[in-house]
This record gives sequence, C-alpha cells and structure tokens, in this order.
Amino acid sequence: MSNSVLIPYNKVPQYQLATVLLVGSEGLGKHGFGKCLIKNTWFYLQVRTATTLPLPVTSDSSRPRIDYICFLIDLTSRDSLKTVEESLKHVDVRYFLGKCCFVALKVKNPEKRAIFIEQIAQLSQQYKSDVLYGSFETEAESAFLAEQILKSVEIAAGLQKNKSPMFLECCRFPVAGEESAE
Amino acid sequence: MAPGETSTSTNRCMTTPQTFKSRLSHRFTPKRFTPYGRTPQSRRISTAVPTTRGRRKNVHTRTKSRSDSSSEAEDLKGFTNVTWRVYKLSPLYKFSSAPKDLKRYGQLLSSCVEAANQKGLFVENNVSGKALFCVQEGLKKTADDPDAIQILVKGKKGLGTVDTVILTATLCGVEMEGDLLVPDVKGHFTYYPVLLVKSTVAMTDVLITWLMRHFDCKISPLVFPPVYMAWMIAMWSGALANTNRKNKPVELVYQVPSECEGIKKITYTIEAADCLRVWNSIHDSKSDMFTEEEMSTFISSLEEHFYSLFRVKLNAMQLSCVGTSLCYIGRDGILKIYSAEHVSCILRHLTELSMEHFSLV
Repeated sequence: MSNSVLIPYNKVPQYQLATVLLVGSEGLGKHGFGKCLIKNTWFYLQVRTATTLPLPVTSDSSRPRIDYICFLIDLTSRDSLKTVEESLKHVDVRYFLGKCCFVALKVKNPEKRAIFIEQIAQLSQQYKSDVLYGSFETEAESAFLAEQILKSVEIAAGLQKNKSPMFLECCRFPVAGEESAE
Repeated sequence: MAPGETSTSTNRCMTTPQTFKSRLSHRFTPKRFTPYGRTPQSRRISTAVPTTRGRRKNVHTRTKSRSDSSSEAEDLKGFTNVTWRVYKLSPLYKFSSAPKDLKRYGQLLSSCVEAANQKGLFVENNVSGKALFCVQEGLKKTADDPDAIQILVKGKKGLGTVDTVILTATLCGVEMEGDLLVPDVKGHFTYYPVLLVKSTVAMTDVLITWLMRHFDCKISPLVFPPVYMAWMIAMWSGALANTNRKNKPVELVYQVPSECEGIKKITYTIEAADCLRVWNSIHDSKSDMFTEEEMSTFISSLEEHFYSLFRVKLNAMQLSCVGTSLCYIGRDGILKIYSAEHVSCILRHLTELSMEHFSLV
C-alpha cells in the first residue's frame, strides 16, 4: 500500500537536474508539451508522462525523484477530470506544498465545455494548489504555460538558492494575526 | 493532513471571500484568474404537475397563475411539436407593446419582407408576406416579465393560393429574476431574453436583421455547451410528461471524435421509467433545488453504466443532442418541446441561461 503513493522525499535528488511528471488522460498532447518544456528551460530538465497514478511499482528503482507534478485537465471531457481526481488519491500530501499544479486545457471553446469551471476552482481550493488556464494549440500558448510551470519547477527542485516551495506557500495565506480576526 | 473543506452547499449560496483578508491573500483565489462568470451551484426544477409548487415568489403571483393552469396548457400548445431555434438578445431600444405600435411594426416588417423578396433572397419566388405582431398570452408569469410578443408572417409560398404561416417567432422572458437593466435607462429599453423562431433560414435572417436594425440590439444563437445539456437532462428526466401515456425515452447523442474511424455518433437511449428510478435515488423529491453534485452523479452514473457494458468512455466525448420526454435539445440552439404543461418551465430555464450570458458583463 505504501508503494502506491508517490512520495517526494524518498529518493536522493539528482545533481542539477529537475524532473517533472505530467499526469493527464490520453490525447491531450503531453509529449508535445514535454518537448516544449525542454525547449524553453534554462536548467537541466527531465519530463515524464503518465495517464494515471499510481505509477507501476516494477520500474520504481530506475525512476528518479519527481520534483514537480502537473495535472492536466481537459475542459471538454469529463473523463480527464475523473482520471485526475482518481490520481490525486495516490499522491503524498507533501506534494501539495508547492510541488504540484493543475493545468486546465482547451479553455478557448466555451461551447464545447463539458465541466464547470467552478469544479476546477474547487479542486484548486481543496488541494491548495495553483491552477493555470491555457491550451496546447499554438506554440506561443504552450510556451506561455511552460514558462510559468518552469518557474515553479526550479524552486521545487531546489535549484534556486535560499528558496524552497514551502517558503512560497507561506506567502499564499494570511499571517497569523489577521487569521485570528476571522 | 486532510485536504481543506470544500464548500459544496446545497442551496444557492456562492462562496464569498471574507471581508477581513488583505488583498495579497486574494492572490490565489480563482476569481482573479478566470474571466468567466459563475454558474449557480444549484438550479430550480419544476415538478411534473404544472401548479405553483416550487415557486419562490410572493403570494399574489401564485394565485394568479393557479387559476389558469389548464387554459394555460391550451394556449401554449402552439409551442409543442415544433422545432424552434433559440436566440438570445440584448435589450431592445424603444420597443413598446402598445397595439398601435405593434401594428406599425407589422407594416414595417411586411415591407421589409417584400423588399427582400424582390431582391430575390428567397429560394422559392413570390413569397409575399404580411407580418403580424401580437401579444402572446400565458407567458407572462410575474410583473417583471415583459409582455411576450408573437410575430407571424403569413404569405403564399410559391404559386399556392392558400395563405400559410411562413414564420412564427416569439419574444419572451419567463420569470425573470431580478432586473438586469440599470434603473435610469429602464424607460427606454425592453429586455427579452429569449427569441424562438420557426422558419426557413432566409426568413429568419430577414427577421433578425430587421430587429437588429430597428431596435439597435444584438441577436445571436443561444448555444448549449455539453455542461448545460447535462444540467437539463439531469433536471428533466425526473419529470414525467404524462403519466398515462407512454413517455418518450431519454436520449443522449454523443459525437465521436474524428480519431475513431467508422463511427460518427452514438445514441444512448434509456427507458423513461428506469431513468426516473435513478433520478429518484439521487434526488430528494421534496426539495426544490437541484444541485450540481446531483447533476454530476446522475450523468456519471449513466456514463459508467454504458462503460461497464460496452467499454466505451462516453465522458471523453461531446454531448451533441439531448432528449427527454419533455423536450429535445440540440447543441446549436435547436429545441423541440413535447409537453404543453412544461413549456413555461423550459422557457424559464432558457431565460435563465440567456440572462447568465448577459450578466457576464
């Protein structure tokens, strides 16, 4: 049972290398986006893709430590939301402290939308992670998403001096003094 | 650590950010990032019986409609079994429903139809038309609703000698909640959320360009994305049109993506009675509001059943048409109502959808 959960800190980090995992149902364009990420990166990056979690146990030893997870959701298919929700159960809690994000795709066709935008917003509030909205249709759009993700990946992999993902999480919510007023 | 609590509330309460938080902490609330409006988390459904059960209005409107429920069904029968195209409108400038104004509009539209006819816009020549505007009874439910207007164009088609109705259109708004117009301009504008048209494409174009030019408004087809169609089918599969007659089965038509060769669409038909059983087990029949969770449970249960039988993932495909025993709805704004009793409830829902588009601004 413990093998089926993806844990962030159970492996030794690789020297100067970050690893991103893209999770999303088939046909979204993960491989194309992976290439786009590698093209736009300014540090050494490895991209892995998966349709669902948990990842198969047999290849666990050859797999490097996953620094960042992107959950890709297609707004025109209810199936992608369902696979993402199932995969979320197999992710260790420490990933939600700045080491993962949700990406909502195909936002430009509101007439084909099959899930409510509020469901995505609710997911992001529930798991306290960012949502990025975009699409993979043109090069420019993929590059735009890639840049935003890479900034977070760099911090999550520890490649930026004196910055950790937990640090960024502290900036997200109000300070203790204000919270007591609620 | 359990993920934080979600606010899946059953009634119409939106998650409002608290007033004490500083602006910095709003950085990650979804409201800032999305330019899209919120859809309500629950919607009102009507019950099978066309009485006023389930209306949240004041007492005086309730008594007003209760007295004509049977005659109402008669009046609205003209709406049934006709394929309408649905359009949404922006407010009409200087539109009045006084009889002499309506007569004037009729004459103007007739002359426009004549001009179009002479230009040769119609495929069948000699479509001479006379337009009539009149107030439609039975659709005005509350004091807020504007008078529903019916537009008829009668003429002779081709070389026939009999006068036939070439175009039927209805401008209406049923149970509009709240006024979207700013009070100081209210005197000049009339807001009709929904326009239903039944006619050929050329005639519809003539009517729409005339309305747009004359009243300075914008008319566009009201498309139904798969989310809204899922709402409608979830809400209305539970309402049986007529308990004596055999009800039409619930039908979902899916469009297969082009990567799969050899099959273009899938039609999924379910007996109305079985659908009702699923609906009753999901939805508490006493409550009036139908929530988002119930809707997604209903749709996902139907799709999972299909998957368990045929191993075909319907939720990865697009819903293109939806049919229940009350009505049939197509994605591009096509509507066909089968039951006269539920006309006002369906029109009420369309009014709501159209007003949501408008209130995105």
